[in-house]
Amino acid sequence: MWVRFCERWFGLLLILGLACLPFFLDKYTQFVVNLILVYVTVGIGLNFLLGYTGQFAFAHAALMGIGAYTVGLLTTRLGISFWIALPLAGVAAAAIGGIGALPALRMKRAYLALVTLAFAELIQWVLIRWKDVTLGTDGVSIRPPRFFDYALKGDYKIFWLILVVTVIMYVIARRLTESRIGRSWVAVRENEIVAQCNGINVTATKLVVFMVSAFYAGIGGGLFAATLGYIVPDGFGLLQLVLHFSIVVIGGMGSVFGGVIGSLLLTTLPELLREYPQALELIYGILLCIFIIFMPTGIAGFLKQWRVLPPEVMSRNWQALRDRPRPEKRS
Amino acid sequence: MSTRRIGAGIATLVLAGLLATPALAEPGVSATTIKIGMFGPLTGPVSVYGYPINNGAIAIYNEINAKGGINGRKLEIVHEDGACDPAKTRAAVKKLISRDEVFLIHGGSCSAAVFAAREEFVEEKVPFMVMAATMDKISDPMDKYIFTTTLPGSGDGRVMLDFIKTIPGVKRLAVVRNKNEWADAKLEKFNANYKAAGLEVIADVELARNATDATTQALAVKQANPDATLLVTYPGESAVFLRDALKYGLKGPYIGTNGIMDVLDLKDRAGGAEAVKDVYVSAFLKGPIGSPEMKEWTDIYVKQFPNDKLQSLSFYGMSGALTVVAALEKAGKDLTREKFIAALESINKGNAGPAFCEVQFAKDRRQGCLDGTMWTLSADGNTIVNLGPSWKKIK
Repeated sequence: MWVRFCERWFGLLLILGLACLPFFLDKYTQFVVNLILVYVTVGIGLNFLLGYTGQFAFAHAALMGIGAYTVGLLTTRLGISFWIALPLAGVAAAAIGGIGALPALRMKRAYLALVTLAFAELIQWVLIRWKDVTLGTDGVSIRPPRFFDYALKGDYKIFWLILVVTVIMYVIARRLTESRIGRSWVAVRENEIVAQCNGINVTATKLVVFMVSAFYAGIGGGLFAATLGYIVPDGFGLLQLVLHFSIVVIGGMGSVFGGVIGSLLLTTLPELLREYPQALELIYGILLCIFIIFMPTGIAGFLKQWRVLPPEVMSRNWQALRDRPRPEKRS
Repeated sequence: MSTRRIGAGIATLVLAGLLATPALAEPGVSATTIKIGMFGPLTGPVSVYGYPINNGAIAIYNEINAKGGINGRKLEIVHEDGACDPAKTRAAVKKLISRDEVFLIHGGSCSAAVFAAREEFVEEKVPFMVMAATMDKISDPMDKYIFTTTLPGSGDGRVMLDFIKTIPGVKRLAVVRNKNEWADAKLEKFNANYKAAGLEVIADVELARNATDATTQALAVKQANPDATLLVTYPGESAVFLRDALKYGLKGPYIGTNGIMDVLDLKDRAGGAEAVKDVYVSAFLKGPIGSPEMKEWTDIYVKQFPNDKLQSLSFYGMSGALTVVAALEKAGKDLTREKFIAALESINKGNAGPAFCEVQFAKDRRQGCLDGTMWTLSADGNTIVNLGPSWKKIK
């Protein structure tokens, strides 16, 4: 009770503190903060798949691209409002992610990785070659979202939108992981046969996690497009995917807060090391090795282990579960 | 003392204060320095291009500093990495403008990344000289603050098309190309005009970036049996295609973009002179590396970066740097961004250094270099020959 109370107040204070940032930051720092928030949504989405359900899928960057292109094409080419286009970005990514997941549902490990990687390549291939619709390699310039007559143009104004959406996505993620759905993801990750014996439909669970993860990637992609103002198919390739995986692995697999830590670190670190571009790639590689070897559960897991962060419980009524009457042991 | 006197006294003080306040200084300009922002791909897979291109411009700026600077001010370079990524490039430009407060920016080798940052220059009214990005959309339609001395993609396409028109007996073409914004920019004008020139494209074949085998593409071109083949591919893929084309008995001529203008390097990559003996490439440099026309610029580069391997990329940024220097000199000691832009607009037949053209800007013109030439290998395969704009038989 006390932990949840503290967590809520800390979260509220954090949001209020974040909301004040535009009054203190220069445009460059504000842009970086916006990117961090975008990657929080994207990172949480991949964490559902990779951390919570243990599915090594490699289509997340391409699905982010679907979201970005949905927002870009709907707003710029069809003149549809950003407020309609953004949820549609999530829905489009979820639908395409779901279709892509169908052949992948029966696969594991390397086979799953290969199938999803091929699927990601296919998406990028379409983005590049379906020029009549996607504008191909010319890319798409994104119109700034409008709130009635007020254009959310520029890093400061778009920040409010990104912050609100990110908070909503974070809260939904916490609720999801605390729900039966979240527990079924973990059960599938731990042992599919045991999960099935406990009445969990493994195929349906995997399909759901693929779609939810894709939805998050789509929303993140839509926000990314609005932040950047211009998108090209190349922006959603292998380098983007490596960044997503790094966010989850370094931030903390199987932890919603890990997505926040990961995106904060992985977006900020390259900016802090701008003065040393030659050292950047080396440091990046060394960091990844260190985390994989010494902190397999990422920073969030490490902080939980040292009780800096409270444990993420996977039930909203966990206290009732803890205090439930237990059957007496037979002697 | 009456209220009126007190009021008058305060008004006088305020007025005196206002008059005593110095005029707001132009960002990036101090009594002794002018800050120039520079960005390019310094990390990631494209960084192999980023360093030599930017170093060419830095060599020019350092040379100017060694001669005492411009109007008593030294040029201070602030270097940022864009990693050829739109988000990182936009962040780099934002940092240069809002935190480093540079006077102008000279940079950008990756078209999509530069285009993603274009809005920043326009909104912040910061003069921007493109370093080596060739996408037409960056400078056309024109914006007051954006200039380029790099031959744009459409210009490269035009140079190649004009050359093909002069090759005897060439009517049917095959196109081997990468599929990215770089190749599309080169082909846009070409595709719009080849039919009017009486040419026909009978095969359009894609070659993936970093491909190590081009058997499929070579056989597809062989089956189409064109009179000439257009190569809109980067040096690595061009070499792979030419190597496989030789293996499967394809005949030239091959016409390449200025991306492969270093034909001697292409010869080494493709495995010998036999593979590139009928290759003609568009070029925007005055001459190949080692030629007398390039000596002055080679010396400047080698003096500043003695350990670098000299390549055609080393000269890409020099024309822009020389133009920036010329405009800064012209703008005078009382330097403002508006004066600098006016000075750029007034450049007529400006010195483009190692570039083939003469720089020409105007109030309604931001693409300063639109001329190119064609190169090929000499008959012995050891030197590069400048053919000019039309085809000639090499003896």
